[in-house]
Amino acid sequence: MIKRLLAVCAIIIITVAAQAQKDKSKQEAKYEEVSASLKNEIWAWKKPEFDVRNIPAEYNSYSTVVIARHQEIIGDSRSRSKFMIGMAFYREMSINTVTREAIKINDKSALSDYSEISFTKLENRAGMFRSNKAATYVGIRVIKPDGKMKEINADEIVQTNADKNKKEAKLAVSDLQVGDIIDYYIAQQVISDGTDYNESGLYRHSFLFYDDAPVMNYSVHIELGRKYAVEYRCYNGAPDFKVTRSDDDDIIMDAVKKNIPANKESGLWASPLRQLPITRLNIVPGYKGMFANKINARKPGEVYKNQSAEEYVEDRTNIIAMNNLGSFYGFAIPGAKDYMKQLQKNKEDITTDSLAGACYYLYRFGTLLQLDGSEKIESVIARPQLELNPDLFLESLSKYLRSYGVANSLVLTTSKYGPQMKDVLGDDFSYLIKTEGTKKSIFGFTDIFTPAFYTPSYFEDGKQAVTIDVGSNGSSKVKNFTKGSTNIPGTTAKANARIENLKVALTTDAATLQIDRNTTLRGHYKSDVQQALISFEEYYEAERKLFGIEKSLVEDLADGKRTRKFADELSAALKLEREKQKDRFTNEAKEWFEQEVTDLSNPKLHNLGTRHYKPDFVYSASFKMGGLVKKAGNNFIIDIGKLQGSPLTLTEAQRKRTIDVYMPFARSVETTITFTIPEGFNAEGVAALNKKVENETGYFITEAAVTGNQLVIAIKKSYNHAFEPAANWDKLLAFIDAANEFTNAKILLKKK
Amino acid sequence: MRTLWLTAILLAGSFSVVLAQDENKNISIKEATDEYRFVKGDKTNPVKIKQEMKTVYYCNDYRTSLTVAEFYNDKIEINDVDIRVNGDKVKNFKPNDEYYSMDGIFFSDARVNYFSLPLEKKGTTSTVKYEKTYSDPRYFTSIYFSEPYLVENKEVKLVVPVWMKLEIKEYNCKGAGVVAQKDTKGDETIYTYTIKNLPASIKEENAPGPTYIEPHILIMCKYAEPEGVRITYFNTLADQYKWYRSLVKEVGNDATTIKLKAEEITKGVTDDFQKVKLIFQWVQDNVRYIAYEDGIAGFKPDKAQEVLRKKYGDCKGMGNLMAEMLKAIKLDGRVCWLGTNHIAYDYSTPSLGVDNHVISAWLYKGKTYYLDATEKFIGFGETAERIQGRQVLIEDGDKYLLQTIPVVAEAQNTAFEKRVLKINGNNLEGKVTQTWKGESKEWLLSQFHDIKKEQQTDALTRFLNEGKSNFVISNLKIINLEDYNKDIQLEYDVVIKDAAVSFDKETYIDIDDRKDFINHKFEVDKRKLAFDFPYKGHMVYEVELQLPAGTKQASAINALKIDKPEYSFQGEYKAETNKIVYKREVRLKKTRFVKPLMETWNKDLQQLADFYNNQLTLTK
Repeated sequence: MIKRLLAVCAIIIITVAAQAQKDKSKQEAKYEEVSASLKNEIWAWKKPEFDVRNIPAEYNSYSTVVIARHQEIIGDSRSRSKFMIGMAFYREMSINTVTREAIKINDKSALSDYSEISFTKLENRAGMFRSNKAATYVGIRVIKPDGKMKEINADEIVQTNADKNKKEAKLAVSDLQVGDIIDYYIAQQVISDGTDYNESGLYRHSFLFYDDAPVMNYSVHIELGRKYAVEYRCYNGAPDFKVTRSDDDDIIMDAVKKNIPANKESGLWASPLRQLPITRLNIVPGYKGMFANKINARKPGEVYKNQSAEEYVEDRTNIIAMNNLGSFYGFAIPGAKDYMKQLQKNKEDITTDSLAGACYYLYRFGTLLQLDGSEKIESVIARPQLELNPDLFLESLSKYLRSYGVANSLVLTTSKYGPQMKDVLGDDFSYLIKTEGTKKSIFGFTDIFTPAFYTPSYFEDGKQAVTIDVGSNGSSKVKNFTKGSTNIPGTTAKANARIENLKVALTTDAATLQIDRNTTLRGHYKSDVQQALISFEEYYEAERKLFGIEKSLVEDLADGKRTRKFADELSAALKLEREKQKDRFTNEAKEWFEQEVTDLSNPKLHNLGTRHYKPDFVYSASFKMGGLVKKAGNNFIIDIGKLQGSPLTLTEAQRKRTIDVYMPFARSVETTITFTIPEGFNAEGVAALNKKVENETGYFITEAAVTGNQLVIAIKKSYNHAFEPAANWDKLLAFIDAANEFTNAKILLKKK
Repeated sequence: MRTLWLTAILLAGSFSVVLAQDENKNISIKEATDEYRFVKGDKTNPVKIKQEMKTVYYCNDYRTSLTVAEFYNDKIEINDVDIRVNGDKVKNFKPNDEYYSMDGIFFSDARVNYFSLPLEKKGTTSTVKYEKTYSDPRYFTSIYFSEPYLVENKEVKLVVPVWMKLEIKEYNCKGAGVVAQKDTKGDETIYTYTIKNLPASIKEENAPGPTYIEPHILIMCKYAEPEGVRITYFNTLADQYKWYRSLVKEVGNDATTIKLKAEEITKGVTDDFQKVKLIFQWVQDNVRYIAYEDGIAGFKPDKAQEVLRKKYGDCKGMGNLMAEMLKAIKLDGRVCWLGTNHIAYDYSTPSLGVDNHVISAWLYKGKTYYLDATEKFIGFGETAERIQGRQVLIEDGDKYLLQTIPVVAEAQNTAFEKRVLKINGNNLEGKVTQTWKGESKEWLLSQFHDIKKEQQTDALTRFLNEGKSNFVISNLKIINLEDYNKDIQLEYDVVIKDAAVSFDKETYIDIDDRKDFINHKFEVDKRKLAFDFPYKGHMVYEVELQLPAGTKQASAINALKIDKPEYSFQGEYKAETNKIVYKREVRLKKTRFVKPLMETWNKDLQQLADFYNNQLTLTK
């Protein structure tokens, strides 16, 4: 694809399926015929904005200028409908999209971006319940500075794949130079029964009314047959659609925005759906037949603007009801049989917090750590980095908790990098679990190390999340569900902490620093490092002991007749993984300090931090760090400030900010350096190591003092909140800059 | 010209690529056979080569799977593929077959046939069989013996009938456990290579090309007489040239169109050198590199007028266009073929595997000026490392000229920086001038032009201050970015905050904060292959530090001077009236570093690091 177009167009690349074609050449001929007719039609559009050649001089400083951008979505519906499994109706949808842009090319970077295009001309895929196909058509014209226009000939397209069900092609744009205007379109025709859109049969589209380049004219035109319903929402000042009807009562929607200046925000700590002008739109196959109310179907021909979030909660409630049908079966952990029996027996006698926690850990172990010998060994080794679907995990966990009598609700919420709850469009929700009768109550999930009662950072401080209590496993009557609302709590900077204790000495050759490092990570700081440092075996072994499972992973598998061979092989793979532990620790230290780390020894995991009642992740290692000791005659200068790790450095563009600040989470870093002053030397410059910059958004404070031959430097940094209004940006910069300046802090070891 | 990579996978007979995993000790090849038989073909392709290969993979430690991929193209056909997993036939086995897309090549005829092959358990085997046919002996150039896994036993056999003449040359086979044998059976000569316990091939960054490393044979198909009439392939270099020449003659360049453009570019210019420079930079700036390697298009240049019209082309297209434009204004432009330094061969072994690049040359008063317009920002008279010292086949009517592109010293690529600074409190302040020549200029400009216009100044600043927030640049002037025949030059004012640290009466300054190559220590314990720097380097860094009144250098710092044939490190502090002059120079005179040299380099680099670590101490 033209690289930039992908970002601009935001057309969902639809994987389409269909019936096998009978006559190859007939299909090709048809393609050429449609291609020619589209070309005639699109180039003949009466859109004077594409003919503009007077570009404001100030735009010459940009790589590209979007002279005009127009997007069209034309959708019709055929009468044929299918009854699909799952009580949902689907109609065949025919959606044609066209994106046309006229772009002024101002530099070589833009030339490179717009000079090649790859696309899938035709794609068909057939399935038992599917009959879908798609075609993509491309037209390109190059307008030279003297106004001469050259159209790119279709002969220049080369076909890279000529499979009967998929024809892929590439085109290099000829005679395109800096200073030219490229006027091109990509048209896509999709005929689908809805199965390839998503489970709800939606066609989703986002129109971004912002761009890195200035946009002189951006228009959208939509025409949809009466059988469709449309729902849309404009965010942050995106222009609204003018909605009209054609003579045939088709839906007509138009939006236009002129002279959009280039967006200069850097993208750092931003949440576009809460900050930038975007319109999101869903095209839904409308339905008003049997069970329409039950499935909360949208009425055909209707345009729903800014639908209440309630509607979408209702949609999701229907899905929850469907997923809750039938009995819930747990799972067996043979080695933990006694533990589980005991838990069932004592569940009335222990606190609900303890019970909920215990259930969670059983569930985590049973689903993510337990092996049955059918797994791929490489995937077992890579399991610490496994990406899972949190919603599936939590939906099932909810049932598991209930099976132990822990009452709970599913919580529908949104990420702070998505829309607010009140601004959802379609199924924007993610799950959390809220337990009843517990002190802490929210369960979330990110990776296999996630402890109980953990809320992922991006859901924190979420307002008006919806709780849905299905009552009992197997219950699918929505009217019996209990709905409520809750706010998701946030966490403090202290709760998300990195605490580094460094014992530092000059090596005997006075060339490097010898460092004994002990690190404690708390809260949201843990996950990434746990995935980098903890092997599957270390995790499994720690967990199984807590369940009273006597045998190690390999011993347990070796006991089974069916899994004996697997155990032997797994053992070999685990051994190889153990040998990589030093490398894992070295890489993590290099990444944190961004300095040369060598001769690492004694890597140790003291506490994995995977249980909520023992939450700190604690590890240690010793190593040498090069590059921080400088020779000055008989004296030495130590770049002590670089031991704070590598603080955030902002670019000039990032320093200018007009939008609010959505940081990942409130957080703090505390580094205590205990430096042993070598015999025969004094430490000078200690007083200059005392700094303090503090305001409501956070602080950077350093304190240094010498006691005997020990120089102790405490470096503390805190981002007090996850969110700051744009007005506070300078306050954030104040301590960010102070931390940066401290990287140049030095001490002099002066020969006595 | 086809890139080396394509050459390796498509021209080679047996380069079956198995995509290796990190832990490739888990898999080994118990047994492999690979037989090539020259057979009589049809009228269009009178000689064909039938290949039958069988590879038995063995699982040493734990169950896994591997990806087997076999490449082919218009000249190579895959006739059959079959697998056995643990001895059993696999139901519904259907390999994937698709266009093979490669970085740097827009479109080619390369296709890949691939699949995932399971190794069910420790101690089990899985077997892959392929049958292929080469339709033209020209494209059958080499057979590689190594695999991504340990090869315990492999037998490669070439069955050559008496009517087929070829020559075989071994590369990197010495000490690799390869035993060659030649037998005659009736009308056939059988070349057999037995390979035992050949270690897995190694992939390391910046390693020399596979022809330097991997044990393999180069096959030079000379001629064939299947039906008594001789078909000459590349019996001599003259034959190879003749074939290339025939392709060039078929191009159909339109002299009139080319002449118009050449004259337009050189309008009003009388000096021939200036004309060549203008045309060269015009092609560099206006013709994008887009490679088409579709069948014969991998060897035959596109029409010069087409490249001119499309404003894109590959090396052949640009080489041909350059030569035609020069000819159009009555200058002696020539098309040249060569193998870059990625290839171990030269033209003493005529074969399509020998070269992978086309450039042009201007012959003037007995001198040859090489012009490679695929190097987008290099100046006239400057040559890229990859073509230096390489034999070059220059068109000369029905004959050819064989020359060697001169090797140039590292001074072609000098990156120079001069700072004139004074101390202001804890800061250093002053002016900086930086210039880049040759390939360092090419590198800088190619990075620069990849960045959007509105972000270029910000990016350039970050490049100059290396992301250090205490290195504050102002009044940045770009003296030259457009004319590649001149040095790229930048000037700016700088404040380096907290660079002068005072303790009591003494001030300490880390005067060399560039510290070129400081982190370029070779991991000799891990590294197995030689290391190729992309080009020879020459970094010159000078600081003139004005001293405040009454201040002097507290103690002298020993100068550094290490001079080896492959590199040199030099540095010194000179105390002059009211100023200290620091000069440091690093020369990278050779680009290929073999292991013993890496060890010497590491030791010397430590001395350079120690020199860098000296702090200039000033006292009152």
